[in-house]
Amino acid sequence: MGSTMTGVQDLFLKILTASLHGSRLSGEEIGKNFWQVWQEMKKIARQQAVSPLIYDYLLSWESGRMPEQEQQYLKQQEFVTAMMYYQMVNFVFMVLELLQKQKIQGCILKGVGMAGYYPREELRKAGDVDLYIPVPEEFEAFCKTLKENGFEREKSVTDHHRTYYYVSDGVKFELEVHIKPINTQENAAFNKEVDQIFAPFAAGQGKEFSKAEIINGSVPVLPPEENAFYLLLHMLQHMLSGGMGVRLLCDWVLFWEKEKISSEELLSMVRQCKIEGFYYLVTGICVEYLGLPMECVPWMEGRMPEKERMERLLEDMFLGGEFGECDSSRMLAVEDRKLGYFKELHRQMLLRFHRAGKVPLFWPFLWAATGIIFLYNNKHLRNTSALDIIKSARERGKLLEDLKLFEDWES
Amino acid sequence: MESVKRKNGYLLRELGNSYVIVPIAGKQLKFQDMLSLNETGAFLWEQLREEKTEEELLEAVLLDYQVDEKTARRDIREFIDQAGKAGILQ
Repeated sequence: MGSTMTGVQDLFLKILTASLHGSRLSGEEIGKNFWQVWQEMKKIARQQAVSPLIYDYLLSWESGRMPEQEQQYLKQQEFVTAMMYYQMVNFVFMVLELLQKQKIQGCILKGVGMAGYYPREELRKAGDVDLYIPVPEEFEAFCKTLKENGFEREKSVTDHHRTYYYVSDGVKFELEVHIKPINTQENAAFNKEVDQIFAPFAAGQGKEFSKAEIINGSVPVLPPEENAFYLLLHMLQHMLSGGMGVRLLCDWVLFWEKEKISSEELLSMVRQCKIEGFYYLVTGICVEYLGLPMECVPWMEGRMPEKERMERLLEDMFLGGEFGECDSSRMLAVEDRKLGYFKELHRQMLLRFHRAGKVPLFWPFLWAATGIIFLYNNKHLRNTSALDIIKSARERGKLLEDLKLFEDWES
Repeated sequence: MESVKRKNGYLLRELGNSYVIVPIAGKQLKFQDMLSLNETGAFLWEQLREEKTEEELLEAVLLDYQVDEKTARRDIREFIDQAGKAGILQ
């Protein structure tokens, strides 16, 4: 079967691969008509939040062939991205200082904690800061500290983190303080296993955080195996809602190339949560399309997924953008069965009304309220219809089933 | 010209085909005072890790770049002049 990707998507992945690895494509690979497809590629790069990597490649290797005006534009963009990254790094150290003062144990999830793996850390676009404080008492204490230090809390419908804003010199920073690595999913058994894996952190014993080196110091991060597992969970979480983009795969590629990870330890977590299918699928895409050398993931030998399946996921990524925002009807993926929609409604109700939701007597009212909010938000915020969302959820549910994300490889 | 050396507390970063010098104070990056450099500027900045005279810089430039002495001397003076004004040399 032939490839379902367009020529521009294919070239985009090649340039991205070269940028991640500091290599150069031949003139033949770039093609004579590159500047004719450049606008389309620029759009893809923006949708996938990897523009800095694509721009950097072109400025480094193709500036001689680039129209002068375009070169100036890319340089300016790169300068702005670098400045935003430095601002973010300063913000991270400010938050870590608050953490240190309180003697609270916490670590940075993804974001700046991943940037050091990039050829130039400024190239990893960072939108917010995710801080993981696993011990519940310390989490509460730190949230109080944030309030005392001028952070404003924003209401968010999720049970795994609280969102705060901080304004400094007119710049608004977003901080997500996580009590759990990812939000509660529909599958109760999966949630239980995830909680169990991160339990040593929540108990405040038995596990030490690692350090990731960045431009002006080091930041605490999860140990390599838990960090890899978290990256995988984070991708899966987005996949099960609006969708995931190529940027998350870039993190995965560089993490495996530059970090020493015990694949046995990680595989045991993956098996515990029954997400082996997803694990092999995303890693397979990284090997096939983003230049992750097989030597870095020798356990993939004999486990490469079929090309058709990898390209179906890539197609979903290109359609949805970074987190599915390119398609306004995308919100979630529900398996094609009637109970699936109801389970999702119930889950959303518990997320939105986590206190009242503890009383089953209230549930019928809360389901109704959740439904009304859903309809209202579709009309006024998402600018789409409930029917489109339900249709998209069913289609993506079918896609997830076809992708065999939860397939047990050993049976 | 007297010999010069770069001050401590700055990071040289490569961005695409250009460079920037980012001042750093403690753990804070003073990105508002970031300076752009071209390739020659970045080369000279690296050279000034150690104290050097204009003649020594000239020798280094002529060794590494295919450029005539007049152009190299002009580039060095321009860099030293601008870097001096920015207060990043000692």
